[in-house]
Amino acid sequence: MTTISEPTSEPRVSTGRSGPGAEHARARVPAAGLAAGAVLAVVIATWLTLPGRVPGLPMPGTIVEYGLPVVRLVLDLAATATIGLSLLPKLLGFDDPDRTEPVAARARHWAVLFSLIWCAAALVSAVLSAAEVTPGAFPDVAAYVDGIGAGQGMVVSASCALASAAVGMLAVRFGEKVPAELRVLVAGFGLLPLPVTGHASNWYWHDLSMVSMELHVIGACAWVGGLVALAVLLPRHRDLLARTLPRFSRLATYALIVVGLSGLFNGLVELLLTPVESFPASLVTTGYGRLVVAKAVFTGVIALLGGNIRWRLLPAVTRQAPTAFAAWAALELTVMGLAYGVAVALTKTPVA
Amino acid sequence: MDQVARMCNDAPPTRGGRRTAGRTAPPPAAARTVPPRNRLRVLAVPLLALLSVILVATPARAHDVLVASDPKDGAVLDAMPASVTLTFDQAVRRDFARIAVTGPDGAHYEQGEITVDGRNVSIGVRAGTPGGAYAIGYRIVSNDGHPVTGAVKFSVTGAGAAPGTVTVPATTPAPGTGTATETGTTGTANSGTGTTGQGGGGWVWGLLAVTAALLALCTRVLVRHDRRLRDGTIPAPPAAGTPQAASPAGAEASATPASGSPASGTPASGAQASGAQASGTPASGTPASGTSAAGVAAADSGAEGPDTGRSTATGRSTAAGSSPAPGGAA
Repeated sequence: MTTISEPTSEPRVSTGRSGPGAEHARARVPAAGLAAGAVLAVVIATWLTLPGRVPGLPMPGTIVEYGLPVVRLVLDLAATATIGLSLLPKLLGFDDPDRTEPVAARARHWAVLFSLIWCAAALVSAVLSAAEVTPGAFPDVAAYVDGIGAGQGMVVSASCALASAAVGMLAVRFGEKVPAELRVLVAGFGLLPLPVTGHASNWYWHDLSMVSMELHVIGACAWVGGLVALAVLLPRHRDLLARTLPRFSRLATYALIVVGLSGLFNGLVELLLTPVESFPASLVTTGYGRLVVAKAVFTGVIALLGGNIRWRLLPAVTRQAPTAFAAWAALELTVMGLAYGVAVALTKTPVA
Repeated sequence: MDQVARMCNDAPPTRGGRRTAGRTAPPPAAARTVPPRNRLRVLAVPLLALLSVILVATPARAHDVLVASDPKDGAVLDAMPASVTLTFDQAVRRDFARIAVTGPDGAHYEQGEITVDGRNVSIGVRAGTPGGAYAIGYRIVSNDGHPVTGAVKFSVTGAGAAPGTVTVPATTPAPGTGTATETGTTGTANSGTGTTGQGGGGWVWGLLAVTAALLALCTRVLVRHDRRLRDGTIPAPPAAGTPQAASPAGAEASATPASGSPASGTPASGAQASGAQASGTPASGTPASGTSAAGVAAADSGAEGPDTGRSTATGRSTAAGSSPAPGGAA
């Protein structure tokens, strides 16, 4: 078994040399990997699929063209973190509050902060979306929200994020007496309007593709959020990790199946129903098709990395042996971040 | 030391065990079955999805795609038509739609209001157009809220062949026909977008500002609460099932030296991340704990104080420190 144990080493061992700051920084490597991968992917994908200039019409500025995907990415990542941190008490279990409480308290604290970031990102996203459709003029947010479902979706999502923050505040104050189910439910409800802002749903199989898209988003959030919560908060607590990782592993298996199938379904439906491109060729000829292929490849890589954690690391983790769990999780999260960035670009890229 | 023993005994997930006991015929892979709470969530997901579809779905929402145009892309015409028409694959929204017809000299030749008839969007063309290459630039907002942009290029061979009057309905005849080419046309195109919410813009911005202030306030309250929690001036939320009032005086006393330092060191309006960072730093100043992580754990355990004698700061840190022992042996 691998014994590379830098990220999982106990604070007493490592801080003798490097100090508390390095320990904090190391604990955040998985989250940083997720964010860095996501930003990299979204900037590249946006740059590749930027629409050409339209003769005679003003184009949105660079701030809008790149800021909107990035803010949307911040929204997605904050929502994911909120879901994952709200889910963490369920993964930790309630059998041994003495040992889980310090970790759960940190999770509650961060969940509220990420809910607030989520709310702010949703509102900024609504403003930038309004600016995108009326370039050259002052963004008319009221008209955008009034007239377009995506704007309403953003406002609903922001409201749910605010409600999630309020429930999270109660949880910060009163501890796990505030049921984790309630927190997950409120935050999960805020996820539901988000697929509305993508164009993944089509006229023909509208209902089916909408449900599939909701499953895709919820599955991805539970999966990525759960992993990032585990990878950031738990590597130093080997006993907690030994109990939590098996539970998360089951969740991740279901999430992989749900996310993979629903994503494949939605991507292919969108490509099949496009009137101007024929299907198998459009996988490589259109920007949308290329992004779908990239996301499928990322999903495959994530599945391999997840399988590595599930089959090779999990037995050692359950024995509470030192493992490189944090390092592998950071790698997996980086690839997940790439997939998130591509996903944000995918919601905006025209198919044809 | 009994904590270490407890830790080893507790290692297998007890939830799975409880579940197995509740069943009549425990399957061999009982530990792998879904916890009941997970199953509840799995049930809730489709319900929520359906609910959201009912709540926020509007009839058609998808990305519009240009399927045809009149004149066609790349067409060579003898004379400029009276209007240009773009046909999309789905019905087009009237609001936010804009079309520009740019001539060989870079001037705008569109005229009048955009008319939308189902999947067709059209706009009139000014009279007296010179021959040459033209481009129709368009931006419509499809039902998913995304702008769809593009251009159709065509060229006209005969100069000035267009009829003088535009046959498109809803044309505003008088003011901008002769003189105001660019300002007039962009003005009319803009008026279409601004009609819906010009009056409501103010309160929306006010609402956004209020919400932003609310968010900042929430963040500040949270950070302050967190800092005071670490300092021990307020009791931490109890762990599930433990009484909150039983906070030992010893924990309060041990936390007091730490509570003096951070107020001076960290600014009140600290950012979120830095606030969380800074709240860990002053805790490391307590003499009992050498490391920051152990210091945080000590502050938490001391402040919550669920069981009076045993789970003090030293007990907690020894528990954390001794956990690698089995790992090192393995």
